Amino acid sequence: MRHFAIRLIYAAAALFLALMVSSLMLQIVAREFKLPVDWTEEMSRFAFISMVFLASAYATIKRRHLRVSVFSDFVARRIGNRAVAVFHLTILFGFDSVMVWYSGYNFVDGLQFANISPALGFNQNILFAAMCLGFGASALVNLTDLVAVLTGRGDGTLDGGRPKERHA
Amino acid sequence: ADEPNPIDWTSAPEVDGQQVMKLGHSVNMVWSSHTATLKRFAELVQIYTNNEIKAEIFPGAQLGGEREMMQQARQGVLQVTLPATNNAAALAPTLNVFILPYLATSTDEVNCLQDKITPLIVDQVIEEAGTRIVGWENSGWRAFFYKSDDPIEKPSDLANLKMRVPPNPIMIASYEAWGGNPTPLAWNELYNALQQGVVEGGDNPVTDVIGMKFHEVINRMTKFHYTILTHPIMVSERWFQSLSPEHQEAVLRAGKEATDYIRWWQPIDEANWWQQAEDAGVTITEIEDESEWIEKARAIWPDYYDSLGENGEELAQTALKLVEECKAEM
Amino acid sequence: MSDVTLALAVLFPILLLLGVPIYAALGITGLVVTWLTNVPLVFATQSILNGLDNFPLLAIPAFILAGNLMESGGITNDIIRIFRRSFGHVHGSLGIVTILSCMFFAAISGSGPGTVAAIGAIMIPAMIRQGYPAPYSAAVSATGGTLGVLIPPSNPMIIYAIIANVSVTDLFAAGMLPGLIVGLTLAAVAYFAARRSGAVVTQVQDEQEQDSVASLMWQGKWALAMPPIVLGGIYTGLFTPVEASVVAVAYALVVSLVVYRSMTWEGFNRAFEGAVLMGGALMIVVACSTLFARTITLERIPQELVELFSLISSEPLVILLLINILLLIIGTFMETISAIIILAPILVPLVRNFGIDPIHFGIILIINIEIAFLTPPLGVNLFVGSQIAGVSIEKVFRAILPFIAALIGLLALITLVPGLSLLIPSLLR
Ligand code: NA
Ligand code: NA
Repeated sequence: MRHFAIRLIYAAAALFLALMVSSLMLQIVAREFKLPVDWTEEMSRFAFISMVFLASAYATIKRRHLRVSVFSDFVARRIGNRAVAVFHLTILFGFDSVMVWYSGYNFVDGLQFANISPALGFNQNILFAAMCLGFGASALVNLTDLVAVLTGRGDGTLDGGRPKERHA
Repeated sequence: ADEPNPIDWTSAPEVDGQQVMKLGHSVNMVWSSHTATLKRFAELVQIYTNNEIKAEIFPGAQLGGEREMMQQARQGVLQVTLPATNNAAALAPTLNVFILPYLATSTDEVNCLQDKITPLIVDQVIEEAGTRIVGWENSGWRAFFYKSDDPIEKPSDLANLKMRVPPNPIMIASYEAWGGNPTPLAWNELYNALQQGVVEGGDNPVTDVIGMKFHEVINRMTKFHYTILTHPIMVSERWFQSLSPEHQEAVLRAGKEATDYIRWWQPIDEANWWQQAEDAGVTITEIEDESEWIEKARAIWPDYYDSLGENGEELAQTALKLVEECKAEM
Repeated sequence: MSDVTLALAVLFPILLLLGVPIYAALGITGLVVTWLTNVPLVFATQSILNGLDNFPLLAIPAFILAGNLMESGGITNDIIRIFRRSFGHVHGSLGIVTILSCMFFAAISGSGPGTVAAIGAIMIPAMIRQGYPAPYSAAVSATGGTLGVLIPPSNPMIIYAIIANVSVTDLFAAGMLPGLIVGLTLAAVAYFAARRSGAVVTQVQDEQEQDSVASLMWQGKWALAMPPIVLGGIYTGLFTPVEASVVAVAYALVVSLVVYRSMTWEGFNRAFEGAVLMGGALMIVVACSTLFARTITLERIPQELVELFSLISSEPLVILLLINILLLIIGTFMETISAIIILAPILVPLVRNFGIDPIHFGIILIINIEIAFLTPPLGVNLFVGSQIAGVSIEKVFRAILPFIAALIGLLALITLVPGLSLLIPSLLR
């Protein structure tokens, strides 16, 4: 189930990236051949924005976010990995939750007060749904890891990128 | 900077209980009629509220783009903003009525239409976007600017040019009606795109063309009157309703007087910009007879009645009737 | 100290030091300031989302994807072979190659991070496989990428020119000579830094690398055709530099699928996964930095700082020195375009009052921006380099220090000698 959800987030992000690339490609071709296509710039921007939030959630899953770790590694050696991991995961879970709440609010509010894009006629406020989903997925991952650390089943480190099974 | 200076309203002292009115707009330059309007409005609000409301202006889209600032005004982050009508229409479709090509064809008609129609639509715009129109600024008629050997004189001249169009459905449709090639392109890519020849031109008032330095990368402009760039002075309705009746009165009065002021100042200023364009070596073409442009552009109106919000067709007819009234009065 | 200043000056550094991801440190500080100033919190999510609604940003994930596709499709390999055969015996030469490639790409791209993404995606893997240390490879690409904004065209220069009301063409011309000087200096630094970095040039293992350069070039013709296609397309007005990023993607795909027939489903998937991971990690930082910049703006903090110094001295050089220090500090935590939009309107009248040419000042500002791209906590070029190389920001930053030192020296030179900036524009006028 969890594995499936992760694949789904990655697949959605990758599809948005592909959509961004292909609509910009179409923009170049259409301009050269004077085809009446006026929505490519919008489509690529909207795909890009949606991609970023889902990709950021995927980066949370893979623990690939940019951070400065020298000092916290030093602290971790002194007071133990667990305390530092609990601190990081609590902070991240808190931030993600606030983002989920307000992007959700912006989405609902934005359905009533629409912001209609000129070429596609798309209500741009719907993009807040991607933001809400991305931060929501990120919140779930951080919460699961927090629980795992508190119950002694995981180390909760934020350094991913190495081939390591996080959810054994 | 802390010394009160009688000719600089920003130097008025801070006093206890003073409210801050934040004004956001997207223009970077000190030269524009856009900036002049907001400064005038800010100053008048401060005077008429006896320094009980102090203004802070945030230019250059520091707080976000024009549509975003409108959302911020609705939600109470900002109190005042000055979006281009064609952008504001994305949030308040009613405003698309002003974009209908060749609705009014002279500045006097535009001013008269704004005065007559605003009271009729102000509540609808509040409902759509949560912002109240308290005044207007005109930046001038949109003119073609482009790099080409031949001038644009008739619609068919557009066929060989790739033109960047402002992001508005009615404007895109107008180009298509003339047989042009509207090309979507981000505003911040336009200078480079003109220089490299990705597009050949676009349309904006002359002040924007010179202000954005496009005259360095184009060689021609064509004057015509399909639509004028206007900006409603938008006040956050949430904030407006929180004000005392005296302060509300002051805001409305400041809006009215800022409008009158800029209507006097802008044409004087614009002539100056056309002179600068000429001095910069831009060849300026005037279209003597716009009837072919008018005929083709007006033909798209019925397709866009729906995009003027509810009762779109009725609104368009009302606007047309008001323009006729205005013409009769002139 | 007000609550807001406290949050910015204390909370933000503490979060960063404690190893909270940079996007969250920026976002949390922004949220706290938003809350302290009684601004509705929906402002925070709105600013973060709209921070991404900026077209030129699209080039970054697209160039990264193009680089990954070239790598998994074997195109990068061909380029590496040619490099190894031609320069392999010259220690440190790939550092020079990287800087020179950046200079060429900078002559068509107006963006700093876009330039690192385009060149770094090819050169970083190439250097690492040649035996150069990963932090060095990231550092030299990130630094070379900053030339994107100094060598014309340049997006920040256009924005500055409009605010300062100077000619874009003149400002572009003013960037040429400094661009050349900075580029050549960085190439020299890259060479010496490579020699000191302990790079071990790996022995040639590949059978084909015994071939002559000419024969390798013929074998690698499809790889070598890519730069002329991308550069040529931009020069002839077929596409913009941002659009060029997707042309690069399409080219890499077509060559590896049709010509090389080397693209596997795994390789394709790996290229996308890498681009998604890097794109997500990089762009969410840019998004959250928008909120951070806006809260600073709402509080008018930059304005207050600038007002402070006009009181300190009336000597033009002292003012320029103070402005440089302020810009270097602000450049550590603020994103480029935001910094220009907020600072230029206040700084330009100030320097004009002191008789400093606004074009000269524009070049000074751009060199500061180059440095800002490389300095944490918010250094987008640094981040792109570190992501592509897969090493920590700290390690890349350590490797970048000699380059920053060189750039600060060049900043002093360009500040003190206005002629370097003003000569070419005056000749062209
Ligand atoms: Na450049
Ligand atoms: Na920085």
